[in-house]
Amino acid sequence: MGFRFIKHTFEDGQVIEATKVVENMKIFAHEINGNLDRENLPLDAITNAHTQCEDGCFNEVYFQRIGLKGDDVTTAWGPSGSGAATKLSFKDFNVQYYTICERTVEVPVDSLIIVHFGCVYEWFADPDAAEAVLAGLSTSWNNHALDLGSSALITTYDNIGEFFVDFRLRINGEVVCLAPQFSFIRRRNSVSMNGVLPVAAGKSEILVEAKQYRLVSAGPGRKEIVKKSKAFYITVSAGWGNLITQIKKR
Amino acid sequence: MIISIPETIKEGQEITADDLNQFATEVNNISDSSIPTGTNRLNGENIRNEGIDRRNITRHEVQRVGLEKGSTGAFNNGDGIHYRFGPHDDRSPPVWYKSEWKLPSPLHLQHPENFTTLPHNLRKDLYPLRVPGYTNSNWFIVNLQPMLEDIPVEKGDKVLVTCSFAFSVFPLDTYSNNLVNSATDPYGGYETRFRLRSRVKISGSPFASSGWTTAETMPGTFRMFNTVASSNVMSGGYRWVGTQNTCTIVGYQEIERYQEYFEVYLQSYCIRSNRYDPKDAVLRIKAYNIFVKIIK
Repeated sequence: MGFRFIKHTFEDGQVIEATKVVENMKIFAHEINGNLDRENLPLDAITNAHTQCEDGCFNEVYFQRIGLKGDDVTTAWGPSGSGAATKLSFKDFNVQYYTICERTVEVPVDSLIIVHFGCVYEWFADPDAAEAVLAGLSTSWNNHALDLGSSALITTYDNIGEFFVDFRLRINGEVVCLAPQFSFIRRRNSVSMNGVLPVAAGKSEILVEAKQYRLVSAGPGRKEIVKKSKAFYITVSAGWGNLITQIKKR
Repeated sequence: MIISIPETIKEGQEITADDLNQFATEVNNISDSSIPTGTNRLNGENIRNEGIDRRNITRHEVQRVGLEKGSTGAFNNGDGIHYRFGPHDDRSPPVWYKSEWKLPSPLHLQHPENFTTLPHNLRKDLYPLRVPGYTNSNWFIVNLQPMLEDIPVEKGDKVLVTCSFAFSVFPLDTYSNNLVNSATDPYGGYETRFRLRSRVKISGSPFASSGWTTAETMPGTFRMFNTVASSNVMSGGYRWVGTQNTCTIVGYQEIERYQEYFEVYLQSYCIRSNRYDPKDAVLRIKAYNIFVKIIK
């Protein structure tokens, strides 16, 4: 251990207050009891493959596939077992976030929660709503095509607007990851999100949510108008994604 | 050992030599036995909650410790043992921590006989993978060798795999304007699908044969990408727009009894999105890297 500054210096004949003696001692005690640094932990001091820390340290991982019930609760998918939906459809959903995956974990002490989420989703067209936007749109799109050339579709493309879905990851209500504006032009697509948040002891809620909407141009130089997406909607299939929750206390 | 401050040192109370000596003795004892300068001196007694953090141990020191571990190719940051493949882009060879690790050629193919020589006009693509014809019996026809293999594990280990890469899919003759698919057909543009697969090596089990298990998909790691866009940038009509994107997949597996080694694969295949037929597509995977973290 190197030199440590001592808060109080005493001289001969001085009346010493007990609290000052204790304060001086604390400097050493705190140093030795935990504040290890390179002076008392030399380079290469750790030679074990891993060191098991005690005193409440832990590193747990919880895994679930989306839409499939384990010990988690996925209320967005309906009842458990055979009654659970195999697909979660956003058809005719309003412009707001809906839960597609969730988990509640309980931790004994203040901890760090690290979450990974990934899934596949697919866009589908509602034929009537798509045709109401533009004749021929549904037929073209359902043939897995959206002509960006000189056809009637492209000439009126600005009028169609864009259809998007936003994904976000929340821990205890706080948005820890936002993946915005995945376009319907990628008919099948995948999303990956990661987030970290320190949490207090007790229950913590993890939510994966999605919001679909349509943006329509209001003219040059003007903000786009957000509308409900009727012509196109996403679905998420059970099992085609996972939520991995790591909880650690060091 | 924990250093304590004598409780008798209080206002109005006599301080004895014993009180001070007790403190000095405890400090001296630390220097004899518990300062972690030797092998195995670091333990639960001198590490407690929040006792060591990044202020105390720099990243360099942690990595140095791991790299000095020797032949495993792993590094340990105190949180788990990490194995890394990559990062790799399409203009440099893979970077490995330890040279003795087996180095697969960049995305080296498990069934090279299924792949034909690529035309010279794709020479800018250093590691293209041509997707052969779709068959019902084997959807995942681009089957990469394990990106990380023979990772030692033991019962109760938690394995986190994070795989990230960029990819592109184009008609085979993008540059020469032949054999491309017309966007007027109802087959759709190219669609790629990926998944992580893993397998473990079993030894000494009374219930299962020793050796490697059949590789299985890591749950929830299936991913898909396609596009509905087409373009008439080439002469001769509209053509499907290729797909370029990035992908990150995280997989998880718990190691069970008698499982001693772990391997992980990235697999993919390519079709046209409205028909199971790749029609001479080239799928190129690049800038890939994969991390495997073993949490003890």
